[in-house]
Amino acid sequence: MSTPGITRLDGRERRMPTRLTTDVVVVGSGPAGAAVAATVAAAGARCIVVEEGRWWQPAELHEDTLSAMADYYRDFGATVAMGPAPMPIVQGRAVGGTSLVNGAICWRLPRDVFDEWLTDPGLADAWDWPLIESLMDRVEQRLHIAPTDPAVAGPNNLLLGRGAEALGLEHRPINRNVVGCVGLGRCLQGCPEGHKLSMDHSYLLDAEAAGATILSSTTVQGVRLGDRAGGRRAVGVTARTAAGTTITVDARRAVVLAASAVHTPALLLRSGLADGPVGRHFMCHPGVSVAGRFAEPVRMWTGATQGHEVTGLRREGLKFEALGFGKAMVAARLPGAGSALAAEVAGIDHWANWGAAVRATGEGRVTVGRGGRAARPTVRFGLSALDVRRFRRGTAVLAHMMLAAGAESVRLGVHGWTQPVTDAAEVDRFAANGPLAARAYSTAATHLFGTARMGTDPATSVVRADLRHHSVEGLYVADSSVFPSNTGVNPQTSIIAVALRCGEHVIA
Amino acid sequence: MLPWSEFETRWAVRLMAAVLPGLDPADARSALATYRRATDPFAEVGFRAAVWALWLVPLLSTGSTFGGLAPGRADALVQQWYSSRRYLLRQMVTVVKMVACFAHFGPATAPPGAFQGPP
Repeated sequence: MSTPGITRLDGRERRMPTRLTTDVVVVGSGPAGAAVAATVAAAGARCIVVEEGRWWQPAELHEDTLSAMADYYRDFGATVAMGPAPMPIVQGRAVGGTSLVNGAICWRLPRDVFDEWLTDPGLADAWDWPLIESLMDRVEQRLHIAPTDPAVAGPNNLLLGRGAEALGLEHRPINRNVVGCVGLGRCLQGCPEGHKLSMDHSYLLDAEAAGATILSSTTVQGVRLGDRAGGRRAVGVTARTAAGTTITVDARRAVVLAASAVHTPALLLRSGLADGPVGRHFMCHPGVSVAGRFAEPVRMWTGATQGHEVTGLRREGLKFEALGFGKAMVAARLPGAGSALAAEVAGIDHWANWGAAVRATGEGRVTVGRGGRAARPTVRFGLSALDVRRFRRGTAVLAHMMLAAGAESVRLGVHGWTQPVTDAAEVDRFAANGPLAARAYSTAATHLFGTARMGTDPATSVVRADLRHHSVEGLYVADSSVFPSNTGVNPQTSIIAVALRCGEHVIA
Repeated sequence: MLPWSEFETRWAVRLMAAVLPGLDPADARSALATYRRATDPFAEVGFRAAVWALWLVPLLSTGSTFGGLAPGRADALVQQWYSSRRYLLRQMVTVVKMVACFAHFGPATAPPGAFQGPP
């Protein structure tokens, strides 16, 4: 039995096989898992959250990118999505999930995206816009989501605003889940002063306060199933601690998967639950970036990590953000190699880097190979022709904004277009004649969706509208795996909103 | 995954220093170990293959491995590779460049990140 009063268990210290009993076990402590745990615990249900990563206290978080990516990014932030143009997938692996290392960007789910989801008419019985709005209101209140304070924005963000304004593009300070941000520029390494209200500083604390237990450094290997009249029922999970022993969790009421759109389907598949399109319809937001050199110092690693965005082209599937990186990542994105790179690194203070996130129409698939319950997932993903055209368009818009903001020169980062660009006419030539081959662009993918989508037809969806698995009683999926599509905007608020509702269904 | 041989590590360190001149070999070694411990197995295989390929490719044109090239020639070659029409070749240099930059600005050299105030 779990012990009342003990809210944190550390898998690095658990060496003896253990059996725990609870009402609800939640797999994953990112935005979805944390929101479910807070909801069910507040309702009086006993809850255990199992998280593969460890707790990190703010003072322990690394300043340098190398150490951060090694210790609390999954696979060094480079899980490879295989395909014609392989790209890294960036995810966190820590208590709090990716919220520990994201840019704190918060967007409400756009109404037009929600309306797309309702093309499955059965979803409208469980979801309507006022409900989604009310859930997002709660998220915004809990996470103190507010526009970035210009006083801490820093040059990189302010320059983006200047460039967008000059071009007449709709732009704004980014809404972020921070309190008392002082512009340390370290969101992506985890805030060392706890100003970012990542899940370990918000919903997980709420869950703990209501009696939930967080079992960290422990990897769930499979969902345990029991028989019941007429079908199967999820009765718990088996897990392995970082210290190397097995933990069995019995869940009397529900098992909730919230392990991301890569690891939730992988867990289902490893558990023999291949019903429906599990693992299929993997979607994401791949991004491209452009670097610009300014006469004045920019020092991208100072100020709010991501504090300004351009929203005017969202309906074209493009969203633009200032990117605030540590020096290592800035250097890695500078042009050139050899002595040419060294020369650019010497002027690293003067570079800005902005990105375009693309609402990709391409889809992929998550599978698991051999290796039983320890098998790693494999992601395959291919960009569509439209996605690559959006890369080109996004790159051109970024370059125009850089020049309009006063950049001395811009580097497009596109194969075949590596020379410094100093005038808008050259950008226009790129926009018209730039490559339409995915391999010409350097990309990375964030925001993952769709691999256990919700719907009414078990042949085309994995969970029902109330997020219960179609064929296994007591099994829920709460993360962005259930989203019928990608969102075109940063999904943290939407994920938490949907997960709050999932928690309500679990305890109903 | 087979452990890396010492010669493979030396090759990698030498390539990293060629891609980012001025990189301290000790930082490169340390970062390489960290990267190998943490990264995706596919990515590690790719990095290892890149080290082998980039070390041996000059044999075809110069009769020498990368380690046998004069510094100026090695510098010219990595710049040429970085802009190569061959996707795999430029991707191999890109991944070496990434680890080299992480090493250069690694834990020993991370700058103070405090924001100094608005411009």
